[in-house]
Amino acid sequence: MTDEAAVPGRSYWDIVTRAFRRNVVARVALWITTALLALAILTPLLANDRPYAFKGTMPGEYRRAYSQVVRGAWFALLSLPQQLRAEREQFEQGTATLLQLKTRIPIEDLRTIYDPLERLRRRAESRPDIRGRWVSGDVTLREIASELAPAEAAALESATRRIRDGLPALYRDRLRDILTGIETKIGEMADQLDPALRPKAAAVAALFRQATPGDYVFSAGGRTPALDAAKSAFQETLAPDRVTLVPAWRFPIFDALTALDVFFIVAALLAALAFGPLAWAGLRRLRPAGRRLGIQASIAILPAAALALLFLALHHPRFGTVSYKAGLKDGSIVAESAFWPPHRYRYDEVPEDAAERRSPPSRAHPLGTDFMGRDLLARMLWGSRISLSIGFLSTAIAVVLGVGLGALAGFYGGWVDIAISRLIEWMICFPRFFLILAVVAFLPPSIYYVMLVLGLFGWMGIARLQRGEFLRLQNQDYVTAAAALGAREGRIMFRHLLPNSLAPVLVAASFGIASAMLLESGLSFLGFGVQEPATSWGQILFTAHGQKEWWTLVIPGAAIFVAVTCYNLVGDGIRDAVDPRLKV
Amino acid sequence: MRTYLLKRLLLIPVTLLGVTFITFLVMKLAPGDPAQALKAQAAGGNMTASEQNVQAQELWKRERHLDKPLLTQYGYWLRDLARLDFGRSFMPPREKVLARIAEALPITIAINLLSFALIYLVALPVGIVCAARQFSWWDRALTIAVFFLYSLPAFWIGELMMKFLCPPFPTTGYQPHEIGELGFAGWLAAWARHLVLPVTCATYAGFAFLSRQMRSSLLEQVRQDFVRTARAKGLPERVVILRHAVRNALIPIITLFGNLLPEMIAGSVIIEYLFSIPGMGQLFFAAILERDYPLIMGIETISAVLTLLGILAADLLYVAVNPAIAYD
Repeated sequence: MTDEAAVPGRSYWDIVTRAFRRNVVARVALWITTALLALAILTPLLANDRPYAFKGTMPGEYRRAYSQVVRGAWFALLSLPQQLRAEREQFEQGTATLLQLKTRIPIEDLRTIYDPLERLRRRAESRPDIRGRWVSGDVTLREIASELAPAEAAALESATRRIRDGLPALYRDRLRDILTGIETKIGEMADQLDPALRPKAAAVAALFRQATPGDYVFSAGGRTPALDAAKSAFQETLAPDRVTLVPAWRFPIFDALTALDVFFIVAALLAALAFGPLAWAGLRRLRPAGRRLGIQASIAILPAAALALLFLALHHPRFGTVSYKAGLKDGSIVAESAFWPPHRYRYDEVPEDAAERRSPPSRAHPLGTDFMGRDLLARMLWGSRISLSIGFLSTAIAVVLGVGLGALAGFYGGWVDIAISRLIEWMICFPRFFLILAVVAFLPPSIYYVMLVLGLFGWMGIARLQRGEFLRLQNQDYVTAAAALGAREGRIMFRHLLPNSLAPVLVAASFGIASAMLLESGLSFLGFGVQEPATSWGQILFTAHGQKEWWTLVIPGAAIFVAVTCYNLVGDGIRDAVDPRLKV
Repeated sequence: MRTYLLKRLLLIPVTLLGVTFITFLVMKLAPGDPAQALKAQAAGGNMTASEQNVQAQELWKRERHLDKPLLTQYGYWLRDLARLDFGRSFMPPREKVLARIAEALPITIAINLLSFALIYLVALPVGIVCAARQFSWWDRALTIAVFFLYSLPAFWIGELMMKFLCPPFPTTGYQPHEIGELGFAGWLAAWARHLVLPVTCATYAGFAFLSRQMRSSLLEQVRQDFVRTARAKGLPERVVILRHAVRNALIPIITLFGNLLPEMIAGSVIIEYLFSIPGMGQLFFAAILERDYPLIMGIETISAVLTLLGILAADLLYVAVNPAIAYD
């Protein structure tokens, strides 16, 4: 072991990784943690209630879109002129209410009449007969005007007039929105049609667009011949019983993914590629190890980020809330072939069939269901994302803070060191769990607060380690050489000192992940962590408290135990690999 | 040594200020107005406001300084703290906060002291054995066992125990009032029976940390020259390890209970919630659910003080035991 260090070309990290790999237990633990991480990242593809892809049609959706246009949008369209007329009359005659005034009035006018209105409101507070109407905004403008001074009443009058004049423009905007909605719906319906029919659908959409001249809103009854023509064209060409829908490939799984999911999934797959086959193929010959790591990381991260951004820009979720399983069963979705994820349940799926509740592990539900009938395997998979991400994120915050402050303290020494050391000593005395409890109990429930607090109060140990390492390494020859060659302080810190001092930080980070996971599950168990319907392993234990079903109790706890053990073993393995004293 | 002690003593009030101020800030940041909550509670959820109620609410707020700026409120609270007046709890019955804490504190302290004693009793021998027989079968097995225990979540084990072990053991914990019927021995037995499960839950996680520290500390000592001398003198290995090496190795270990203390106080929340023990943890939990500000501030302060006192005691012991820094 000792003469390996003397061989040229063996870096510090080579020695450490070699020693780590010799430790069988730590290696197995590392594989298990990687597998858990992979499962967590790939969960949306592994346990979901919508298929990856299917070739078929969605007649139910088609019919729904059709009736939305023919009924909903149509009636909204027709009622616009009437509403406009009614509102104009209300403002003209002073029967409009205070609430309407507040909704319609432009800001500049509001500023001028705000104070008189406040004064009247306060006066109304003391008169029980009209106070209720003031509070709910039902008092009419005429009543208000009668109580105002002449100048204020004139201001109110001019404001009202401006509102009246601006109403047509507002209604025209609403009209435009409705028409855009109709066009979108027609586009969705056209997606399922024979390509030959699509130009016809486009023509119908164009008819709607052209059927509304600028002064549409003033026409009586809201109907114009052009509009009627558009509607009958729509009903003739696009009615469900008049068209045959053409099966096509659809990919519902994308509706269940977010850009962040895409990033992590692609990055994980590329990383597996870069650290696996590609590394064997040729990358291993690249030295130094730092450059190789950089290349592998770039192969994994950059294309993933690009794809995620592309996804964010281009993906518009449609039919977001369709239940594909129910649709297939009742015929509103017809599929010739479909490819489903391995496990066809989601974490928040509540079945209508009450018999599925509290069912023990079976073929359909490998881990059973909970008291609401939700599948436990899906909940465990989706819950692992939150549990693991809390561990990683809070440790990341702690590492960034700790390494930064510790490096500064160790490198510069002097009063910087004293100040930071005092800060560390001061913060170590804080009762972390109580503070976390206070924070999560008082602030609106969100796991991000938990992560933030865990990170903000967990960096002290890492800072101490980092400071110690910097103090130790400062007097090494290569540092003196770098300084003599004129390297700037920042370069010395980042390029030379930091990579060699990270090993204890890795150990602390590994233990930090384990303890953050334990803390989060403890919090969720008390009811203060992740809130329904989102889930984490601790939250599943929370719902299992006092219930009869053993599987909801044993399995999440066992999962937490396995994950925490593996992270601890990895940390211990790194510590043993790095510490020269523990080898005789 | 005097400067060292002075430094440590000065740290206590500063840390207390920091902890209480942060807790205070967090509570004030919370959405929801305690005055409203109290009124709603008093009116049974019926919130029709009348003029008298508005005035009463303003008066109530002014009494508790809730209408003044934040720092002023904090100042008032600190002044009360100096008089050891933590105010009255918001929850009915509106007892004094100090009284409620005084009721619950001894129970928590008893359980924690018991746990500490057990941890030290078990972890030290384990660490010694691991170090003396490094890399042997004993070392590996004990390390794995201790690791295993450290990773088991306490609340999970508690739940499992309650589910499977409860017919023999009682489900609720502490019963301090049964002396009359049972006599002292009977009371002790009942007390022990009630406390077995909670103390087990609170204790086993501490084994790992302490035994690992003992192991590495002893390993360091075993490589020293004086151990080689002792062996060369022909002393039996047992004497070498137990009488000579362990003494030096114990020095850093003694201070470690300063590290263990905050975790135990925190862990007691979960244990007491599970086993319905009326200690500080359960009190804190109930206070948070009810948003009982004075009680929460009181408990946070007291636990911060206890933690700091524990750390101070650890430091003092360290100074007493380690001759090297006596002349600092």
